[in-house]
Amino acid sequence: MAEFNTPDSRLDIYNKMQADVSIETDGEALKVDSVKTMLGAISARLYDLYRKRLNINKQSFLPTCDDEYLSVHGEPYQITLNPATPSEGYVVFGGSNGATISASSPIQSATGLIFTTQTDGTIALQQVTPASISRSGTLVTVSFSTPHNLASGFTIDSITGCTPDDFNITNQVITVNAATSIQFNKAGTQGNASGTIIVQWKSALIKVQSSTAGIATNLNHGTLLKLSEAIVDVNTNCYVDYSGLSNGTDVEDAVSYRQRIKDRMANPVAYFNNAFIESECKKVSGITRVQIFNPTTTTAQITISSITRYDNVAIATSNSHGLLDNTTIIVSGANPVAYNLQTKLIVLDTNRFAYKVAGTPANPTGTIIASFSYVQPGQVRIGILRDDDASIIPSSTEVEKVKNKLLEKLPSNMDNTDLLVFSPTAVPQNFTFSYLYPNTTAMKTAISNSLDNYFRSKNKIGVNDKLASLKAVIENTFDPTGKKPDFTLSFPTQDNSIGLNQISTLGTITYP
Amino acid sequence: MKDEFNIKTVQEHTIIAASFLPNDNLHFAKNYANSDLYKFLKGMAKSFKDLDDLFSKDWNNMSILTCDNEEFLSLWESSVGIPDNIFKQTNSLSFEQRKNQVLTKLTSLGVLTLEDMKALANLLGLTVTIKTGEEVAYPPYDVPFIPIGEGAKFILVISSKDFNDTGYPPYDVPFTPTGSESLLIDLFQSIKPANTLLIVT
Repeated sequence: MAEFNTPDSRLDIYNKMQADVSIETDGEALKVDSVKTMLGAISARLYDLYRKRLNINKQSFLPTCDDEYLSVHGEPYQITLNPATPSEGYVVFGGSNGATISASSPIQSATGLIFTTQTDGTIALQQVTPASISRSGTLVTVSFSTPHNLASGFTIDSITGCTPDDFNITNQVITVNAATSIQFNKAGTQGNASGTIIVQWKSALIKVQSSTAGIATNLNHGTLLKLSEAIVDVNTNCYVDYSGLSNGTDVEDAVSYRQRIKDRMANPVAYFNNAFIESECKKVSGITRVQIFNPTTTTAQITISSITRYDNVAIATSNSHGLLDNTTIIVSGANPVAYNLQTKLIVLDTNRFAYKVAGTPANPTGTIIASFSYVQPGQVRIGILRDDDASIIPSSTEVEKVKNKLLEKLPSNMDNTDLLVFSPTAVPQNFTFSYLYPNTTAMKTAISNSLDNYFRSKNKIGVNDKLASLKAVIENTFDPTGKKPDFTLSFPTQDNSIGLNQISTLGTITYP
Repeated sequence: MKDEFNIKTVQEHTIIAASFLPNDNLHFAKNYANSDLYKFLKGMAKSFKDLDDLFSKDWNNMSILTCDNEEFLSLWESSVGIPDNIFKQTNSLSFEQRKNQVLTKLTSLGVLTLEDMKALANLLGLTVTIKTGEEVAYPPYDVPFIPIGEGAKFILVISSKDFNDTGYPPYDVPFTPTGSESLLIDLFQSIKPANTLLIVT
């Protein structure tokens, strides 16, 4: 018998039916050939019904249903196949000062992908004083105090006012190496430039979206795009900005869809519990992992190195504080005591946060401590990841999408500000092998793939990676010939250190 | 339950099969038990009954309440994700205990109110008292941070005289649950709103 007591073949049914009829009729009926023929036909139809019943039973349960029946199980829970989504991001246009690019202007990549501008944009003259200019070898690095909104491949007009003057350039193609820094190669004096330096360029930064959907529409920063139709006084070439074009996802595959339904059925979903939140987050295309932090009684402390007051706002400095907006803290140890409060805060940057104080007390002294529960009653913190993207760290746009999705279902007694959705900060984990056998390309590729898989599935937000776990990933790698590696790691040599809002990612792997 | 889902005898299947034959002279003997035609139909009816019985049992097994088949129960368990980190055991449990686990998990779907949580506890044979942080007259001594004030309404304090601890009031926290108590608390942890702190005393 197969599943659900289904006979293995038509013949099984025929034989049983023939035996039953033979017993009942003392063998008389089977002496007539047409009776046997008729039994054959009836048993065949019975077998068909058995097969149909088997199929009904299999399709009735998620673990055994075929892919094409998944929606039958998912849709009652409002879980539908996630569609493919277009990519989006910003593109840097150059041209004459004042030239305009209209919304819906098409641009295309060398591979034929079409993107359209989402807003109007005007090319504007930028004249910026850089924070510094330095040269090491032939590489000149220009740093700014605010994001420059440029892109690799873009041509800046000039740098003027430098001493020594071999830092000055005109019509220079640049490489963007950070949101606030650009680089180019030009031989000359080593060290820093001084003077009244002006960096000048003409650009417009315009949001674009791909016309088609899919992960293939994501583009790295600096990718060259071209206007499909010429626009007066606008350069044909334009470039993807430093953040790249992201959010493009393929239509969800059946494995992922089945898993989401399974998660929904297997994890008791009550209103806004963890399972519900995870299910909602994964309705946003591309979100593959969700890590939820519930209220805890765990109290953490950070040291505040200084507090400076502006009007009734205290600006506290604590390097890499790891706090989020609206975290409630208890400040203690400050003198004057007016700063010692239980209050919510606003994060200014990674090292500073602000809270309100009463009156105008003098800047405080003392050993100042801020105590907080990582997640307080009433709050929930939700870390999201996109493991199928080049970078698993979601952009702020993607975080916003998830937050908006959850806000649609937010309990009425919960404040919007207590829903803390975040993308963790990547902490690249580098690897250096001092010995590897077999030291073949195939083995190195296999190890790289194993580590890449680890950092897209096993690592957790706020959790250190054990050195032993990382070594185990390598040890359990097989190359295409079935060999496991013999190796020595010179780095890392210990567990890494991952902060509250951080997650490890795969950094550089150096093989011997 | 409609008649079509009742289990029928071989004789009933024989009579039903006979009823589809014409009432003419050729098939006159179809209702006589000693006739060759009736015997022939009866021989085939056994195979009809095999399949019909399975359909009827399928109907029962599609509900966890009436499920009595190992293969279907396994599918039920797999569908709701048992075993998991709450319902860990299957091998050592009786068929009825396994059914009750599935039922408990299904019941926990869509729990919304404190009364729903209490009903869930009842399924596991426990009677619990649930209060919010605001309702607790004296401080729950194991709340180290912001027990009073805006966060208090997001604290649920669970207690039960059925819990196997000895202290009262709850000076002996942390409470170490066992057996069905442990299962209930794990279940409550998984279904409580994500912004709520659960304290068991």
